Amino acid sequence: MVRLRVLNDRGVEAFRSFLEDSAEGGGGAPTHLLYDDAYSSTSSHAVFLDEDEEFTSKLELGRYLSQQFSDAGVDRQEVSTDLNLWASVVLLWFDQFCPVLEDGTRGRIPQERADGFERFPKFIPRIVARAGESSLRGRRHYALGPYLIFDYNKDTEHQADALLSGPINAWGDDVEQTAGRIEVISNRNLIAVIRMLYWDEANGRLKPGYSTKSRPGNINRLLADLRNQIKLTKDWYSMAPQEIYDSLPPEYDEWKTA
Amino acid sequence: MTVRQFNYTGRHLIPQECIDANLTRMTGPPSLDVVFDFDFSGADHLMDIPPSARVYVDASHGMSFMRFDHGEFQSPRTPSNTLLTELDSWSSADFVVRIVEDGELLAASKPLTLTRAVPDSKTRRSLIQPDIRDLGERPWILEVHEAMATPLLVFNEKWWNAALESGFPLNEQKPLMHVIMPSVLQGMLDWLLIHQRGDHHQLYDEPTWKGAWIRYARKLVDSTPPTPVEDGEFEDVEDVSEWISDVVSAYSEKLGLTSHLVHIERQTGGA
Repeated sequence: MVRLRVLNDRGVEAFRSFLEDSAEGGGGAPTHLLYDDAYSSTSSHAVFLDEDEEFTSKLELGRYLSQQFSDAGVDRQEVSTDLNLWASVVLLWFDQFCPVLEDGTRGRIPQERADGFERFPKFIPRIVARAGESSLRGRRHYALGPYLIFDYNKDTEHQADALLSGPINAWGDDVEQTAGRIEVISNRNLIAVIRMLYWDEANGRLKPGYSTKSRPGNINRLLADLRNQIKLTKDWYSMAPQEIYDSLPPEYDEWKTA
Repeated sequence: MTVRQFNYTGRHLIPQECIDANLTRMTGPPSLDVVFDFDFSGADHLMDIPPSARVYVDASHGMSFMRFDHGEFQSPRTPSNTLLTELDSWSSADFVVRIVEDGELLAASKPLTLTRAVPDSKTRRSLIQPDIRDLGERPWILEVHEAMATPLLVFNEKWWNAALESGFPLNEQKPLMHVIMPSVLQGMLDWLLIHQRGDHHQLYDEPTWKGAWIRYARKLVDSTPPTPVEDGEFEDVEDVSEWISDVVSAYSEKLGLTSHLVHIERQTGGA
């Protein structure tokens, strides 16, 4: 367990260079950057993270980060907009997010080649605005996304377990659609409906095809098209999950009985 | 082509004049104080709303959100705690007022923005609003993202407060704004057209601040910027940058910015 160290801008750039140049070939993660004063410094927040901690799901990761920040008395508002901090968190556990495969490589490193602002938004959060405290977009980030989803829902019965199921490097549209929309991530009733529709309780996993865009009533349609349409006439924040569930159009019937 | 939007939902618009809102407390999380005047003469259409409908104030900033329950429509009351503790920013907030009964959205306001720099948004409509925040050593930043009700020109609060104390608020200092605004215009157009890969034809018709910025820019020059091709990318983004540069030059030319600065410099001797 070590006190969190945060990459400085030079450190983030070195991390980005590693992602561009040698990550795919299986190069060792440059975690030394986190211990080198030229590239990082001790966080002003007294947050302690265990570099040997292993996460089998995004839920575990989100819960762990939420707990560690909470133990340090750090609010979500204080950390959710810190680009360097979130790049540092991914670097700390890089081998879990991007493991070395049997052939010695790390396979294809997820990136957005066309994005002129951040090519590696899963590792380094993307800045949306020009600058300022509300400028990070966590929806594509391996650590910030699960943290935000968990932290918003930590006081609920299921703590967004359906959305946060699956390995920490498995990243579906559902997580992006959720973590990227404040009207979704902050609506606990809607998060509960997602579980009611798509969670296979018996097998402890999401139902197959839940995010397949060609299937009627898939999660992407629920969170984007339908929600945008419904919010003109309904207020899902004030409706109980069962009320929302019962009011969904017939295209969701398949998921209610699956 | 102009695209007009029609409201077939039956949802009423809550006029801005019914809402008197302020951010109060200058240290720590501010309090979002909202008072309603649903008896306002321009709000007669609200009178068919059931008295027991609930009034909510939904505040947000970036990826943070808080809902405040203001009680029943017939006699709204301010909650005991309206501190914006959960919001990412303690210097500004977007909010929407919603009136709801049994999950049905009966009425809503347009999104409004409050900042500590301009705490009363009641009748204010502008392309950009000033805000203040601790920016370290940066004097100012432009803050713009998709969900904002209005983009913010954020000044360093240390600078802002010092200017206030000297009796010359920053946003009223013409020479200063002459220096800043070309960069703000460039930043806005960069964000709209390059960062967001915006289609100026579509944006032009939008009844939003985004549309207003594009309309303003297009009035300044005779040409139009390139539009993105099918995959949302520009054939040559340099052409867009060039158009933006032309707009900023035309803006500076129109206002004679450098001439003004030279004039002031000569008058004051650089003081």
